[in-house]
This record gives sequence, C-alpha cells and structure tokens, in this order.
Amino acid sequence: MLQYEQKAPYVRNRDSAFTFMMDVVIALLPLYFMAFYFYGFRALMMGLFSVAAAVVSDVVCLLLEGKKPYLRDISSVVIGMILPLMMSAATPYYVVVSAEVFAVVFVKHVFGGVGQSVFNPAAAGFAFAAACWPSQVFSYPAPFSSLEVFGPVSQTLSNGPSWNLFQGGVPTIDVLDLLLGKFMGPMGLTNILVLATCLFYLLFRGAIGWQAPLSFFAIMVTAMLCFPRVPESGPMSLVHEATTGMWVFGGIFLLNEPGTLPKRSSARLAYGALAAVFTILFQRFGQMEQTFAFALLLTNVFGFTLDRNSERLLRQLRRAYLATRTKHSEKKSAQRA
Amino acid sequence: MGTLVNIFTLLLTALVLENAVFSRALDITSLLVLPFGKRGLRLFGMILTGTTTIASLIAGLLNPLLGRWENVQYLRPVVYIVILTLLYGCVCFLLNWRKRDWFSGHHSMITMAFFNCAAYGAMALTVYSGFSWLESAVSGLGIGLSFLLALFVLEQGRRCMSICNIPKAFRGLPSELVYVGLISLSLYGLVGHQLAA
Amino acid sequence: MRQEQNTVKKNLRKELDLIFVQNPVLVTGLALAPAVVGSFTMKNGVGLCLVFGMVTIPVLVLASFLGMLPEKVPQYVRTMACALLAALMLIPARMLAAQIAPNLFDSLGMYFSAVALNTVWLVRAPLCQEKKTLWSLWEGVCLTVGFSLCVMAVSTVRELLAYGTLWGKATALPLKFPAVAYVFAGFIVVGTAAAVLRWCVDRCHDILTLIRRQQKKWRA
Repeated sequence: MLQYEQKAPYVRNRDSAFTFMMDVVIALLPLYFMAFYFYGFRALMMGLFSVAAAVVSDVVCLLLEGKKPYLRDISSVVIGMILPLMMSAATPYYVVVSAEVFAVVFVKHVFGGVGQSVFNPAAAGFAFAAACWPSQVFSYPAPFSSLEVFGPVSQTLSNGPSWNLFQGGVPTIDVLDLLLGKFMGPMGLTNILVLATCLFYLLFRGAIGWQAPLSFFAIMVTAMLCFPRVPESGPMSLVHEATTGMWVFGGIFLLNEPGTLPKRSSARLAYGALAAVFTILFQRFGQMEQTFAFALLLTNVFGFTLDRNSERLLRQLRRAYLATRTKHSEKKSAQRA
Repeated sequence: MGTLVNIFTLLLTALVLENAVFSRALDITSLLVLPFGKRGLRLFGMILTGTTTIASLIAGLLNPLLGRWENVQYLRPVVYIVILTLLYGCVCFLLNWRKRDWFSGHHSMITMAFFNCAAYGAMALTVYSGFSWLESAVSGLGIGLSFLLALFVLEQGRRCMSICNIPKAFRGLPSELVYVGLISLSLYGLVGHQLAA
Repeated sequence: MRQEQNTVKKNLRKELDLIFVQNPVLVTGLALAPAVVGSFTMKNGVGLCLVFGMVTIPVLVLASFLGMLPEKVPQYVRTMACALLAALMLIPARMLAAQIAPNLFDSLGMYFSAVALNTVWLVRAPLCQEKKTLWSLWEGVCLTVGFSLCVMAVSTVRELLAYGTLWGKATALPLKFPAVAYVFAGFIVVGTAAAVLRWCVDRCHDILTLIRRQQKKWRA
C-alpha cells in the first residue's frame, strides 16, 4: 500500500477549512469586544489595521507567486485578528502592521502558503515585534483609559503584572480583578473567563482537537501549582500565571493552528506536552516577560517529527499485536487438531 | 561539585543558549551546502566536535602566554590559524600513514572540519569569554555538539519542507536559511539580547 | 586560432558567472557565516569584502603555483600552504581596515579573521591547481566581486532597516527595525536575497531564451 505524506489541515468531517477558520474568527470576536470595552476604539482599529495588512500582503504574495487570490481562504484574516490581541492596546499601528507583514510574507508564504506553514505565523510575527520594539509591545495602558484612536498615546504606560512575575515579585492585584481581566496587560489575553469560553466553543464546534490542549494545560497547571515561580501558594501562582501570561491564549489559538499541529492523536498529545515543557523552560530561563510565542516556534520544529515517529511506533505496535494474535490462533488450531 | 555544575552549565549554554549555528551562524555552510549526505554529515559533525574541542583546549592553554605579547590583537588570529593548520597537518599525516584508504575517501571532509568558522570561532571565544583551559575544552565540545544538534533539527526541517509547496525561488538554500533564521528568532526569546561577535 | 579564442571567451564567461549566476554566497552557499552575522552595516560590509579579497585572490594564485609542484606532494600539504598564506594576509588586511574605520575590527569581532578560513577558497583552491596563474587571478577577482555584491547589498539593506542610516549618515526613512541587525534577521535577509537573485536569473534566462527563439524564427 502506498502512503503519501500530506500536510495539514486534515479535515475529516463535512466542515471545510473555511468553516473551521470562521469558527476561530467567531471565537476571537468576544476577545475584541472585551478589548473594546477596556480600551475603546483603538483596540478595534488595531485589529482592523492588522487584518488589512495581513490580507494585502497575502494577496500581493499570491499574485507574485502567480496564483489567484481565493475568497474563501480567510487564514490571513485569522492571523490578522490573533496578533494584535497579544500586544498592548497602546502599541503603535506600524508595529502591528510590520509584524503582520513579517508573519504573512516570511512565515506563511515562504513555506508554501495556507496549510503549509512550518512555523506558526502569528507567533513568529509577535516574536519579531517583541525583538524589534520590546518597549512598545510590553508597555500597557490602564484599563478604561480613553486611548487616542490615531497618533501616539498620551496616557502613561507601564509594565504589567507579568513583568512583576518575571522579576520575581508577586503582583498586588485583587483576584476578582484578575479573573475579570481588569488590569494592565495585552489587550486580548487578560480575560481568562472569556478565553475559557472560547476554548469550550472551539472544542464543541470541533474546530480544535482536545489532545494538544489537554496535555498542554495539564502540564502547565501542574507545573504552576507544584513549582511556583515566585514565593506564593500554588493556587495563587496558578491564578497569577494564567491571567497574566500568554500561554492560556496561546494554548487555545496558537497551539492548535492546523498547519503546524501533528495529525495523529498521540503525536498531538506529545506536541502539547513538548510545548508546555518549552514554555516552562522559556518562562524560567528566558529574558522576556512573555515567551510563549518563542517557545511555540521551537515546538513547531518538532511537530512533523512527532507525527512521523508516532506513526512508526503505532505501526510497530500494530505489527506486534497482529503477530501475537496469529501465534495465538495457530496455537488454538493446533490444540484443536 | 561546583566545577561539575559549572561545566554542565557551560555545556548547556553552548548547546542551547549560544548554539554555534543558530546564534552565531558558525559553520552554517557545512550544514546547508556540503554534499556529504546524511551519514557523511553526521561523521563530519563528530570530526568537527573533536576538532573544536582540541582547538579550543590548545587556545585555552595558549591564551596566558599570548597575553604577554604587545601586538597580540594583530597576531592572535594568525597564531590560531597556524595552530589549526599544524593540527590539520598532523592529523592528515597520521591518517595518511596508518589509514590511507579511509583518509583518501574522507580527505575533503577532514579539511572542511579544520578550516571553518566553527573551529576558529571556538578558539576565538575562549579569549572573549576569558575561559580557563578546562572551560575552553568544554566550550569547544559544546560548539561541536551544537552543530550535531543543529544537524538533527535541520534534518527534521528538510523532511517537513519536502512536502510543502514552497515557491520556486525559495526552494533549497533560501527556504532553509529562513527556517534557520526562525529557529534563531525563537532562541532569541531565551537569550534576550544579541550575542557578542 | 579561432578555437583558442572561443575557449578563452568560454572560460571568461564561465568565470563571470561567479558574480551572479553562480554567486559564491547566494547561489553556492559558501562563506555564509560572515555574510549572515557580520554584514549589518555598510562599513562592516566593506571590511568583510576587503578581507575576503585580500585573502582569496592571493590564495587562489598560490594554488595555481602549487599545481606546478610534483604529484608526490600530497594535497593536504598544499592546503596547509594556502591556509598559512591566508593567515598571513590577515595582518595587512587588519591594517587596511583600520584606515577605513578604526573600530571595524572590534565591530566584526571574530568574523573579521574567520573570513581567512572561508569555504570559498577551500572549495576553489584544488580546482585552481589545474589552472594557469592568470585564470586563477581572474577567478579570485570574480569571486571577490560576487561576494562583495552580495555582502554590500545585504549590509546596505540591513543598515537602512535597522538603524535608518547609510554609511552612518541618517536618511529620511521614518521606520526603524532594530532587530534586523540581529543574527536571525541576517539569516532571513540573506535567504530572501538568494531567492530574489534566483528569481532574477530565472527571468533573465527566460527572456534570453525567448529572444533566441525569435532570432531563429526570423533567420528561418
């Protein structure tokens, strides 16, 4: 039997790549609503600029490759919507646009476009922006401060609680505020309850598999509970890390990107676990306050390997099982004879 | 115990944080271009590891002596390259004498393992970092092993890219360079700053 | 006589291919490390080109002389001679670099000297042993021009994007991407430059083929 290696997305049911991506877009809308609630129109404008930059660069790349733009391919819209949510609401528009162009041109199209990405484009875009303009990306305005829609922001910007954690301190924010996302942080990452709803929606709709998020969140939660980064109790550490870090958002929207996610369940479980291990290592030894995007880029390298090896392992297990079964049936027939 | 921990940390730093290929682009040509094949490249990696370890050990031992010279900055690179050349000559002479058949088949590989940025870089880094002879040897070993690690990672990348519909202009070397660049970007999150050249 | 002229023309063209079609860095992938890490300002780029030229040309000429030695002399001894000459050439290169910019050596760090062990001469020197001295010199010049074109293009783009300057002088570029000076961006810029060169060469090839076909048609 010939087996052809095929790249993701592997759509098994009647849903198409379009419906899958629409589900992600729908799941992202509440996050934009919350960002609008906290930071006003600037949050929406950031999303709009980002999507426009992603779509335009996508179309230009397609035309340069001699392909026709396909209207039902909204992958660039998804990348465009995800990226600004990981940044501060006061981030200048040029930062968002540059990160988006980098993500689409150098990460999505260099490796073959939609469904062929070797690395997660949104994570790479964020990593590029964080490397280029760390002060703009990691300086946050206070929630409910009216930010100027155009031009530079006049409000005072400061480091969020993730910086405190990174420096080894304990953030002094009320737990209720933490759960409601009423603190300085990236515009779409602070609302843990909304993020949890998004996760359940995507799981219920079948837009993402349960395997990678399960192993990822299980290891992350265990690590946060058992080995807190700062001197505080395990549950409080978990609350702080989950509400201020990027890993919850990343575990839902970035980790499950079909282009980079392995196709087999066992490989997905291992992939999620590997992403968690890298995230913890980057968090403990890294030199930035938000390192999930960097950790995910490194995890992406091993996605294909995990798929290949899990396939080989399963094949060997199946062979061993069949061999024992044949032996058993031969024994039985010999006994009968 | 402290020395062991120090050595382990140094090795880990050379392997991951300051990976010779991803963070300093040392010997990237051998990794991407040389036509040794998969097995050949692994053998090349092992020879390179030996070369970098011995070369940086010698550099670590020589550094205190070289430091006494007045125009050491001008002469240090020359001395390092001369040492590499002499080392290469000795190895080639011995191999030619004892294992002629093997040597004639692997001559180009040995040449590339001695005369490249990684071997010279391993020696030069002992000065920049102010290593002792033991630390120098470990750092050299780490540089060689980091090449093997990068080789493994790039093999996976090549397999993955082989089934991607990469645009014609980017096929081969360009896409591999972008791939290595993105891994380098991911390691930047761990280091957080640009490494000294 | 005509045959000889044709051979010379062919060889000239073959060597000229080393500038674009067979560019040592962007197409063949040799001497990548200095091009990726060192070329983030134009001054650095000039420094790299200078060392490259000062090392590669004499080494290739020496290689052609070494080709005259009896066959008994093993190949590794010839390589050792080339490496020693490359090491010695670093001293005048360093002195010249100090004339261009005093801090050039420190800015390039170990990559300044690492150019002496570039893979270009390592690959080309054995081939040059079978060539005449003049051809080796010409090959060295072509390789240096090819390397310089690549490094200068990459360093100009990176300096412009990272610092918004050209040769240290401010330009009107409103946007700066500081990370373009980092190693990861070096890989990506060199990779993109390689892709752009391949695209241009392919297009030129297509156009030339079209013109040749048309010429044939007209002749017919």
